[in-house]
Amino acid sequence: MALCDSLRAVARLWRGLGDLPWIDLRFLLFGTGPFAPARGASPADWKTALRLLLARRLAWSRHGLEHPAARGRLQAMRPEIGLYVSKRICRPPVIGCFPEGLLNLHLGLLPDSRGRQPVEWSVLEGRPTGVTVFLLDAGIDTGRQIVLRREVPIRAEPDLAVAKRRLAERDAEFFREALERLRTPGFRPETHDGHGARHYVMSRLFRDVVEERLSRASGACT
Amino acid sequence: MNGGHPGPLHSQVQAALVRRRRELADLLRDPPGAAARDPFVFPVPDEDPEEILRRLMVQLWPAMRRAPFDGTARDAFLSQLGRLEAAARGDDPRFLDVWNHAYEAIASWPQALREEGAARFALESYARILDHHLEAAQAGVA
Repeated sequence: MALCDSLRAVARLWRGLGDLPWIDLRFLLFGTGPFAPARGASPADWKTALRLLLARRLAWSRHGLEHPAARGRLQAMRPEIGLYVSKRICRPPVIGCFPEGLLNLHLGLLPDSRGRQPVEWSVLEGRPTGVTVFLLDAGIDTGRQIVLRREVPIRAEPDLAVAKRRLAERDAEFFREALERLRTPGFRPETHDGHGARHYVMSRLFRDVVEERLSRASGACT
Repeated sequence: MNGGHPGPLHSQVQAALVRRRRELADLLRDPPGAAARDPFVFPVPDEDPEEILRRLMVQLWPAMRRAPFDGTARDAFLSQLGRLEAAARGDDPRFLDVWNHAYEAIASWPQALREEGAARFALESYARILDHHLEAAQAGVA
């Protein structure tokens, strides 16, 4: 089951994972306010959502996941493994609803790129960019159980916003690979002690340096 | 700085720090006739700098951004910030970046607030930190 806070993410995951025969993929769309999850959704996304709704694969809660109504809805769906697609912090009671774990995508290579703005910090510190799919725990991007780590160069991207959007929109591809790994006999997530510096929102000064760096690199690629 | 990775990125960071240092010099220029003062040096903390950084970036900086004219939030941020002066001279850019944030906030304040003790001390410390990095970069080139 996938917990998504946007209709776009629901449609994207369905397109990328809906054909997996060994997963009964269902969605809980959550968000604050009646229209927030629909922001930026295309007509095709709406169409997919409507199909999922009619097939009883999509449930919607206008509350955040912390709300008892949303939690009740989640528990009633009796999920096993979960995918979490939201920038909001996921609290332990929600994680606890998934007996086999809740997977999250982080736009950086854990454990070194912990915390906020991992793409920016990786570029600034001269580390490789990439993604990590990990099992959520109570910490913030600690990624103590890593299922997939993939380097993804962003040199050809014109700017940070595009680079981050394109990485995030490949989530279904990365989740798919992570789910396949998890069902491989003998596979164990990579565990570690949660070391790695925690990063925070970057200043304007450093962000400008990163933008300049990307713009030069993409210029060199074209 | 820059995780020990030399090359073009290093020079871009260096150029950005040079530009920032120039802006800072303008901001720190004393009005004509101002009396000379001894520099204020913040004490070295006995707490883990990582924990101070976390507190600053997770609690105090967002609180100060939400209410820049709330003296309590401002003082809480600036007093903790001062404890990271030594860490900001090191190789980890996260510690310098909290000073970058502080400068970017203080520079937008009205002059009277910028000239208040704690804000002024913070800007002077930031200038020393930038000088340290720029001198180290120069020494590395030479």
